[in-house]
Amino acid sequence: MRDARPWTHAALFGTLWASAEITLGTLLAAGRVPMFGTLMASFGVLCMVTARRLQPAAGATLAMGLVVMFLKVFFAGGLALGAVVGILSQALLLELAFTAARSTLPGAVIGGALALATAPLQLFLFFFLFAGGDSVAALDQALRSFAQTLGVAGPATLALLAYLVGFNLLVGGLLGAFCWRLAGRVRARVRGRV
Amino acid sequence: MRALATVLAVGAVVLAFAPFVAAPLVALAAAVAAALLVEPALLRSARTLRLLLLALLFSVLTGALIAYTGGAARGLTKGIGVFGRTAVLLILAGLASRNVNAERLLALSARLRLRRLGLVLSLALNAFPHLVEAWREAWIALAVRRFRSRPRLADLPRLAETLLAHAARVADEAAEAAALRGHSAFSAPPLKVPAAPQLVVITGRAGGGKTTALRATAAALRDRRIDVAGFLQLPIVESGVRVGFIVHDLQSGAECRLASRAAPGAGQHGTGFLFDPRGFALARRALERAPIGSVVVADEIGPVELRGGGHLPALQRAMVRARPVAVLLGVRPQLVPAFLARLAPATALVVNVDETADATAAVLAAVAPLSGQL
Repeated sequence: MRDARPWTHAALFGTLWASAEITLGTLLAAGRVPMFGTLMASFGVLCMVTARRLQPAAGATLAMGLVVMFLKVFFAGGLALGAVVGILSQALLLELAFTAARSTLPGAVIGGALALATAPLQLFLFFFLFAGGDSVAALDQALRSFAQTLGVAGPATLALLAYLVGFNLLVGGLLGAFCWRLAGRVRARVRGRV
Repeated sequence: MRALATVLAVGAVVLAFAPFVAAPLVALAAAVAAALLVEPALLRSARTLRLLLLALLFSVLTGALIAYTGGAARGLTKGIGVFGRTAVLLILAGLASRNVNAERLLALSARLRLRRLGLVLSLALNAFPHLVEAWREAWIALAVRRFRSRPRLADLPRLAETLLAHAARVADEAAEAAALRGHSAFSAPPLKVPAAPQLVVITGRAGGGKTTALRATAAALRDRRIDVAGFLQLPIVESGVRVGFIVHDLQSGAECRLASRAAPGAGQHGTGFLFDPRGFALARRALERAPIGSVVVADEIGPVELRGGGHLPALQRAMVRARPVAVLLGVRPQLVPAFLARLAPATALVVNVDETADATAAVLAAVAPLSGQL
């Protein structure tokens, strides 16, 4: 049975995420706070996991991503391209994980891990979308040359990226589990303990 | 003018990502033309100029990077392409943000047959200022409750929980409002019920007094010589726990056990209970005997009925045959929006027994005039 609630939840939780992105995210970006992207992505995961635990409907998580993208464009008055690519990829990955795991805890853990892992990859994804595949290769080559200039040998870019992705996967998995638990508390608070 | 600008904008987006060297620049020209047609001030705004400068800087860096590894000509081509694409998207996003509101969004989504997405985005647009304010209020409330001038980092999970719960409540209210306003795009097709009567939904938390309110309302209606038919579902409570339900026929007073608590995982219809067909039969007979023009009562309408089973077929038949002046349903709060969407009544009154001091009086005020029994 479908009713309006999965979609109104997508709208409201997406708005909550967008309000954090537009106010807090802008502030953190302006202040050049390290890893602010990961911080904002964590809040996004929290909103998506909670909405999905309250209303386990397929497609609602992706709809949340569209809501955030839409509000970011409209209230920020312009397109923050990098952030929009990141938001949509996070929503898509969580949607896939939740749909595959039927909106259960493993879905939150896998989805959270994948969503956070995209944060270090966003720069490469952005380059790929707007400047094509050879720009990514050029970025890699430039970073290797820079590393060699500093005296660092080996596959600098890929290794660094792999470490970052691995770290974010681990943190994202833990975050997904924490968000699932917090979502349970929110559900008990809203609906009462059954 | 606006239609031409829309065509130019769509063309610009398509061209921006076309695999031709000159395509991004042609796309940029189209985007600028669209902006000049509907919002020339946009191109002169400080924010747009700042964003365009940033796009230019990013493009120069990308071009330089590619030139370093692939040659100057390739770097120049790529740099121009990147600037064209980013500038097109920045201009069009700025243009859209100044020219789209909730009404236009709904109209556009309806034209594109994406009505549900349009409603979601419109709701988000309207809820945004409210939720931004909610952040501030929750932050202050948290500080006040903890007797501190400002909350600490350790308070953040509590703040998040408060805000998420608030968003969930607003979402529930919005769903209820959407159902009442007949936004069928949000829900499954409504049931085919002829001449939908006045629908009164009595809701409230489990054990909050829904059945008691329905029983009192039925008695009050009978006192006013209004025919009442249907059934109540009385809980069987043992040691403070609901272990089953009894169906009570409002006209004959007959009773029969409907449901008994099942072992974990052994419940029927996705519930924790085992059902007795004799209970359903008594409820069906109670509904079948409803006189024409009476008030029909059906208590504890739940997920089984939402899936089209349980008491729903008998209730539908009673609504067709008896043409009741009003239907009174006892429904859990979380299922109210779904039921309103499914039954699609012309008018509906939702009475929450947790929030209404005299639920019976509220229902009587809605139902009695329909029967000409003021």
